[in-house]
Amino acid sequence: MSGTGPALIICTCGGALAGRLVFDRLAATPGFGPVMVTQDFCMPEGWRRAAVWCRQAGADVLVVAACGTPAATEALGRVATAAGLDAHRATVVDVREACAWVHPEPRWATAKGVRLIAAAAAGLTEAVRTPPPAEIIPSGRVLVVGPSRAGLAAAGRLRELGCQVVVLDPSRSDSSRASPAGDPTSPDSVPIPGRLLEVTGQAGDFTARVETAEGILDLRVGAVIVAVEPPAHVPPPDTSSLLTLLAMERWIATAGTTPSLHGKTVAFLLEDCPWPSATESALSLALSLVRQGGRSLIYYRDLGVAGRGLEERFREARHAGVTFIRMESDPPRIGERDGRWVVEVDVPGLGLFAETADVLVRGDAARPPDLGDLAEALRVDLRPDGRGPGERMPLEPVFTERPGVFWIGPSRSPCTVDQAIRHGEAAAMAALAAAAPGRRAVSVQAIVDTGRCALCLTCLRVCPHRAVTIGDGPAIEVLPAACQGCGVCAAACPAGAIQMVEAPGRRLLAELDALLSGPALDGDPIIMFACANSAVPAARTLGRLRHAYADRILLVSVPCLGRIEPEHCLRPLAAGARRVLLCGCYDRSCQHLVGPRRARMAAERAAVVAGALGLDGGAIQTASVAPVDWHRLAALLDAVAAVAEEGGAGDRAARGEAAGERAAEGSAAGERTVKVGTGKVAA
Amino acid sequence: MLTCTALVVGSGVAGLTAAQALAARGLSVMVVEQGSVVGGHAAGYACKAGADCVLCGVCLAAQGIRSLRAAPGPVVRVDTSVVALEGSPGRFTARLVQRARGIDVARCTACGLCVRVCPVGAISPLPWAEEPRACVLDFDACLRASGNPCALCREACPFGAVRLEPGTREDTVTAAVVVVATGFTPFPASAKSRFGYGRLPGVITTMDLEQGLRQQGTAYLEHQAPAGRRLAFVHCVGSRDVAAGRGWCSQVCCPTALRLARRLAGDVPDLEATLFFMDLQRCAPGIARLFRVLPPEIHLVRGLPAEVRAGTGGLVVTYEDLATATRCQGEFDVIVLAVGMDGPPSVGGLPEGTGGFLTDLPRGVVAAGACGGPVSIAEAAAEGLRAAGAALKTLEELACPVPGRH
Amino acid sequence: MIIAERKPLEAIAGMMAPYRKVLVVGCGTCTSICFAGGAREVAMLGSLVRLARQSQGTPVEIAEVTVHRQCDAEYLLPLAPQVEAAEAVFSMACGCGVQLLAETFPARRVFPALDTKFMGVTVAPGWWAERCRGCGECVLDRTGGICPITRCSKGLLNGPCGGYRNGKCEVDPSIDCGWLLIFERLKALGELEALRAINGPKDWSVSAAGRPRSVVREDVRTYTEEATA
Repeated sequence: MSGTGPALIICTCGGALAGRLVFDRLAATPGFGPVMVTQDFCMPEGWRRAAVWCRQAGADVLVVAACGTPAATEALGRVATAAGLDAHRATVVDVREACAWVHPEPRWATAKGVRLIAAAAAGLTEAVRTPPPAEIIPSGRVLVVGPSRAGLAAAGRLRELGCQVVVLDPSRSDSSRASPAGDPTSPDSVPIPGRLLEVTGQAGDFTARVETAEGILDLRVGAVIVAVEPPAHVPPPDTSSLLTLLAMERWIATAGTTPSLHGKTVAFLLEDCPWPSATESALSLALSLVRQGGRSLIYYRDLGVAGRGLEERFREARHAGVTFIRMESDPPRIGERDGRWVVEVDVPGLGLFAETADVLVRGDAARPPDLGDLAEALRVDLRPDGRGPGERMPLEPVFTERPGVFWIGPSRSPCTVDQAIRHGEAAAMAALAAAAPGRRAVSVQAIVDTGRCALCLTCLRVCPHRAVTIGDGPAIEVLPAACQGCGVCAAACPAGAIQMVEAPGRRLLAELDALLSGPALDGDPIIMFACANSAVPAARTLGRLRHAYADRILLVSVPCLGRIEPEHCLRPLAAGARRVLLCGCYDRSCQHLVGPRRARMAAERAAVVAGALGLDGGAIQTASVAPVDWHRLAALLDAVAAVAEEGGAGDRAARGEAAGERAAEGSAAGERTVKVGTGKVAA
Repeated sequence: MLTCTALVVGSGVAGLTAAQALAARGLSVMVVEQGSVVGGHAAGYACKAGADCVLCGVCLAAQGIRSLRAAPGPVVRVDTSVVALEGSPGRFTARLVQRARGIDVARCTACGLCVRVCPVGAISPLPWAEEPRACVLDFDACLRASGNPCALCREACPFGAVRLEPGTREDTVTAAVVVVATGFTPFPASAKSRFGYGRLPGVITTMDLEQGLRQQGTAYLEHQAPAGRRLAFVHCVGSRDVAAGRGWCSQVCCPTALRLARRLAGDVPDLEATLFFMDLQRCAPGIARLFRVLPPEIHLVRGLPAEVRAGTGGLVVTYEDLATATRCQGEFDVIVLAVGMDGPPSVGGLPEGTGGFLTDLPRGVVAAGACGGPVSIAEAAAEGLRAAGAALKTLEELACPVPGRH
Repeated sequence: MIIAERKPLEAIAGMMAPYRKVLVVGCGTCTSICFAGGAREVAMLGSLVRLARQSQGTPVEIAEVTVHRQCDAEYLLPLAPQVEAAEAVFSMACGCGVQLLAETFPARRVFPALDTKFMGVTVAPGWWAERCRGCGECVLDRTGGICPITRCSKGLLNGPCGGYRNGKCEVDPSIDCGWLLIFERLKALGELEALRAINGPKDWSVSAAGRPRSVVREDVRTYTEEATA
């Protein structure tokens, strides 16, 4: 500390903010040393002047009250570098969009600005120094599990890009007819029969334990791509006239031709198969049979044609003479007569419609491959339908919750050939980013205090990205290339041993304390914890639109709602805040998977404690908003402000009950179990 | 003459993903965007979440735009079109035409002083645009277009960002590889005159509804039909329709129509929505579940309407219900046409395949996203990655020195 | 580890009522890991009581400290000045910690802020279950690694009591019959034969029910007879 106190730069945005903010009062925010008022902080001439001033002022903590534009953030970075300031000792406070533009009354806008500036300064003085980036030396090799179309497409593309690839074939791992095991480490080797047992480490530097015919070996790989296909239960040809699509496809693929089907009628039953992949294989099989002089019937309810070229192929098949029969409600009735199948359906407008067929083929594209062991080896969740990755990760193709592990093809969802290859090639590029050789610097986002860590493994259990590992040291280790900076571990650590670089634990509290005092607002403050991925962008849009909301609503940005601890909710209530709002992503859109759920847990816990204290536990509220949906946020803010208004003095009288927190006392004789309400996980 | 290793044409989800993936590999990347803001179609769509996220993917566009700021990032040029592209792998030359925006993106802080002083409202602050966050001057609406010497905006701007000279600037850029991510054109719904788009009030498209919801919220519906609570969604408008010259399935319209209907049914009390469809495409992740558990306000009717007429009590839809094989009529307040995807606007010098989609591109030029065929937003993100890989592969084959490569 | 749970706030507030200056001491080991008495819980208790007392008009000054382990006096001795300054000390450790604090600082009243529950394991985050009673004579070698003393409500040594229904215990139907678990484990191990052996009566004199126990290890002890005298 130079003794001058934190320095403050106020930008008037070329005078555009004159009359909307009282700059003298912003400049008089307590706790600051030197203050500079400029009008063009984000312009090259402006930030150069600011940098010179900053150096002269000798400030080692800098707060810039400007706007929320990327230009201001960029300018701040330049000033910090030029003035020799650590990146975590300088910040921009958005007084333009978040104060001037959304609070028409200059007095209140200014009062809120003063609080925001004071909070930023309080946070910065508690900030930790930026730790040096960690260095990863990726292995340059990628492990592909499953030589499916998607897997081979990924492997092919990776080889073209100069990456070493090992392809593992788990379907043949326990079979005696397995081809002799090749050397998995030699490039361009054929798929190796083998099973993946465990993957430890982080993106770029995984150790994959693999069991092959040669025994168990450890492979160093930079990324893992899972592309397993459903198992091929191919029945011997001609022994059965009831097949599945997949079996028929494989049969024809192995036999080359199907003389036994010449002139025969084949019925494809796709009534429960709206997947384009099912349509794709049925169409190609039906077409080839018709061209060989046979007859093909396709029964369907919704024909899945949402794939490239499928609609065109559907028309081609219709012209070639494939019969398409649409059914409405009941499944087809299937009987047998003279050794042939009889398929009877109720067609609207036609009535009962019966056809005989020699072979029945059932669509089966919905069946997933068996992925349980693989998911366990990779520590990736599966969905209830047996595919991966977990339920909250289905949106972005290719990625999983564990960085460096990619999941494609039929292991993810039924997909067409074209789609499988596209996803394979996309996964190859994603894997290359993790595995490409050459040193890679990764910024460290979580710091573990080895003195405080009790190795209780709570963090290991809650980390949504599998970034925590048990090392050799006296404390757990956070793998920097896996850590996504959400702070769920820091919020959960019972010893308070994990500090997030962006928002150290005490820093968030210090910010809150500063935010909760200061010039009076238009009513008791309402604290809103806003997720940086959803609520913050939505609030920024409100600012840009100059959409007014109550100035008593004070926004605190957090990397993810999972960062919130019960104490963060209680602190504001105890300091006289009217309400506490936790606003973040929807359950299924949270990039950190568990953020909204953990926020609800923290809020619940805080409400119970608040009730015990005689505070209003009902004043803690959670909500979801999308980054693009500022309408919802505006409605939410108005509703919260209105409720707080109504509540008034009556708020405090409504006391919550401290019930439900404690589980029933264990009996002396029986097995005793302690379950804390908010931390419960289904066994 | 500008130079870059990879030129990305189009800044939609696919283009941005490809550009970032290539830039992250250490290549110098330039993104050229025809419009005034980046993000493509998806950047203007609405969130369709009800009580929970329905995985529409609109956030992916917002995410892509936000991550443009990550270093090392690509260089982005807005208001710029590629008018000609020629050359061979390793040495492509693209002729760029940049329209004057009226306001210098690098110096505008979107403070809004010019917007306030403009007497004719020719300056737009583009409040929903994430990037670039700078105002745009519409030269056609500007008083100077009619010879008036007005320069109030220039005088008001504290940063000297206003440039009142209209016109275009030409430039040339050379690149070793080109990623084309020009997206799609929505099917012109007025071409299907029997649905009355552009003729009958209350007939809108899914694109209109997406943008309306994004910008005005559910109030948009009130503007279309005050107190209108009966909605019809017509699927396959400009898809799976050989007569209209569109013999392909646009893949995204079934899920989009359902998501929109769900969002409105959840937000607007007493709203009833009927979906007229041919075959429900419900294979997108998470969509099968949404179709399985339909709220009571949403009805499914198999059969595409024959026509839409103005009736006394609303819009009358004539259709054949294929489930019962009967001819029916229904009355609605708002008709939403789920328009399909047509090929992208043409880029000078590139061959076009069926429907204008780019299916057969010369070596060294890679198509990403919807310009190669209809894709959803999430699929477009994967497409961007795939195209980046294909572009890298071309560079690898060229074995030419590329900046940032070891 | 030792599992504990915080006493109800009202109980702690009641014990604290007569005092105006108190010290709350957390423990960084077991009770920290089971979210009952670590640094966070100390801070939480401190702020809760402070607030409650403020609103009652009887403010209290609370000092907060968390030591690495309360069952070793070396960690407690440095607290002397803080203990000296306080009128009462509240321990957020297990019963051992509370007692060692009281022994170390005989001049101060020491109160427990937790209820010590049992020795157990983490079943899942937020869920702990008892596994060991410290009976002094382990029988796990004969029971497939499942403790009949702990897992059987009656502590039977030679099979279930006959009162179990659907695999559940008759004492508390929400828990599994310990002996059924033992049976299934032995079956899976192919060691059902072990059940034929009769376990003789246990020496309960070495259990907690016998008398206060202590363990003396001559090979590691460093104290001299004079020191104990």
